[in-house]
Amino acid sequence: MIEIKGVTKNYGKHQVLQGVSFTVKPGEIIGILGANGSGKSTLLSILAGLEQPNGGFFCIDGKDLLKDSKLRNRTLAYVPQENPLIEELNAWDNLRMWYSRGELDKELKNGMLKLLRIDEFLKVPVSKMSGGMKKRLTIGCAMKGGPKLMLLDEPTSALDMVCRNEIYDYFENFRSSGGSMIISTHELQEIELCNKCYILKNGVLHPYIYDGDIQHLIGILE
Amino acid sequence: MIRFGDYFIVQLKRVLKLLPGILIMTVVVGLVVGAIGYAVVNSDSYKDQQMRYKLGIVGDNQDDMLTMCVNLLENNDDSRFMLDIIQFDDEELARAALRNGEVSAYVLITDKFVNSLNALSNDISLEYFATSGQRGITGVMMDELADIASELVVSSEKGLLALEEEMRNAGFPSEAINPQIDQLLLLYVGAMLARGDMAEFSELGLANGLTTPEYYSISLSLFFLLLMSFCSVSFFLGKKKATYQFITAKGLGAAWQILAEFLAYFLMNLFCVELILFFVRRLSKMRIIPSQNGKIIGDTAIIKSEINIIAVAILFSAMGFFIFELVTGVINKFLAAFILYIGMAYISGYFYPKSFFPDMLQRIGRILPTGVAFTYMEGLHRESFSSLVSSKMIAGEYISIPKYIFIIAIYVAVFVSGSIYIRGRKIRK
Repeated sequence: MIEIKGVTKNYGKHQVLQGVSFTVKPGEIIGILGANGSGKSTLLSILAGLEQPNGGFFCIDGKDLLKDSKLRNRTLAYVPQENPLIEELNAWDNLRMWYSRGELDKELKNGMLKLLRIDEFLKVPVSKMSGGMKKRLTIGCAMKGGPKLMLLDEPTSALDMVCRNEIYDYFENFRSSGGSMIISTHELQEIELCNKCYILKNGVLHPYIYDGDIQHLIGILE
Repeated sequence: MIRFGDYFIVQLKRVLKLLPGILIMTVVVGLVVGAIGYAVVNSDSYKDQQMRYKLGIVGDNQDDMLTMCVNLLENNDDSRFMLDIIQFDDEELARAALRNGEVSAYVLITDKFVNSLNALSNDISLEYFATSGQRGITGVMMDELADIASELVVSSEKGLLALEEEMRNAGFPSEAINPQIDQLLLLYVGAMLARGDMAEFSELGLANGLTTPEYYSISLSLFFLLLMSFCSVSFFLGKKKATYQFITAKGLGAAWQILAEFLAYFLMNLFCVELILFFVRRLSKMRIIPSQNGKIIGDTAIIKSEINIIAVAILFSAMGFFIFELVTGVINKFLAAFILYIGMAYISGYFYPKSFFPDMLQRIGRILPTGVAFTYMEGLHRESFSSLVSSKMIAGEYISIPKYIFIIAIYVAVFVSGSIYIRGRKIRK
């Protein structure tokens, strides 16, 4: 069980997050919705250890990941919204930063990297990859070490339908193996993937159940 | 978890990908700076005809002979140029004035010299000190002193002949006059004309004992190292905040990221510098670069260069790294670095001798990283040559190499720490 409790974050007098709390069970996908600038990315940054919160806990099996960075690094995979890959290098060289040669051979043969079909473009430089390839490679890098929780910041924005479906297939696979995900999103398809959704508005997290009424959702976000 | 070594290797791989383009740029910049250096060192721009010289005279003001010398110098100042004579009581004052650019040169007239003239033995040379910034003055002074010598001889001859006439008029017999006058004439003419070394010339150098070629070869070598940051700016392109965050989320924080990137960047710069040095040496040995210039570039300026240049390369790499980390956007990076480098190089005396600037500017120029690098190189130069030449040629203050290495280390630490701080801020927001 993953528990986020009372996370707050201020930038000066501006309170971005006010006591954000929720839980994530194994195999669950949590969707965080919100307008631009609502604090979704800040929340994910705090959970990923990139920013320090002003208060709160982020516990997994009773251990506070905000204080134990080594455990956090092992437990979490953070996938930023933008492409984080090193442009000059090809897929292989990017992966080598994360995996040993042996691990890479194994993963490409019949592991998670095979599942992401990264073996198909190992020698392609990042600068010549499609958006889908970059995202798959990013996920492949982030998943090093078999984390239990993925933090995804708008994972399929700017991807075409085919690429999105490939990514969603992988999410389903990860979920079915007991992995959990927290997704910051605007995409309806992703919302439909989620077991639970929350709307972040004025720094406060509100539970939300998507019933297919897009106008209602837009109204809440506004 | 990402390890430091893995990230460093990735940075080295980036360097390898970028290296061909960087090397081409480096060679182009090296050729341009080399051409400027060649032009400066071999320039005839210091036309003595166009300059007005201030000459210092050091010696006893009360001495008649010295007063006569000064008068002669002033009176022989013909239309080719003008000399301002400034008298100093002691050599330290004259040397300080020379360093500050208040005089172009000074002549040291010792008591021994005056006594030897008075005794007509005339076996002591004048000591003449000049900066090589006014190279022409050395030749001009030689001509002038030769003129003075000729005038002295002619005037003395006239005086002796007048004495002979007076003695005849006074009724002295020829047997008494002729041998004495002949002896006096021979003695005086012999004393003056037999000398091929009317004065000994010493170049105190443009700044603290460096000659023009030495000064500009050091300054242009350093400027070349500065400009190398432009050549390797591609190392900083394509880097993204998302990458920093992605890597931080897996345990490699800002400090380790910067250290790995800086180390790779520095090694790349050092490789380019060493490669250039290698080719300069080769070309010098093959006499494609004239031996004198080859020596200046390959040996004199960058003494024991392969090792000694590391301190400067690491300083300029750290400074470049900090600027490129601080400033965002390709054009902004170029502009910021260019303006800063030109300004710092100018103030630190890379384009004009430091002594041309006001005291305050000289002090600022000296403490800037560019100034520290210059003093370090200057110190290496003196250390290398102190055993080869007389101490008289090595003017200026003592430069402690360990002290300057320490200052360089502090600068490097500040730049790297600053880069870490900036990276940390980028990661957080």
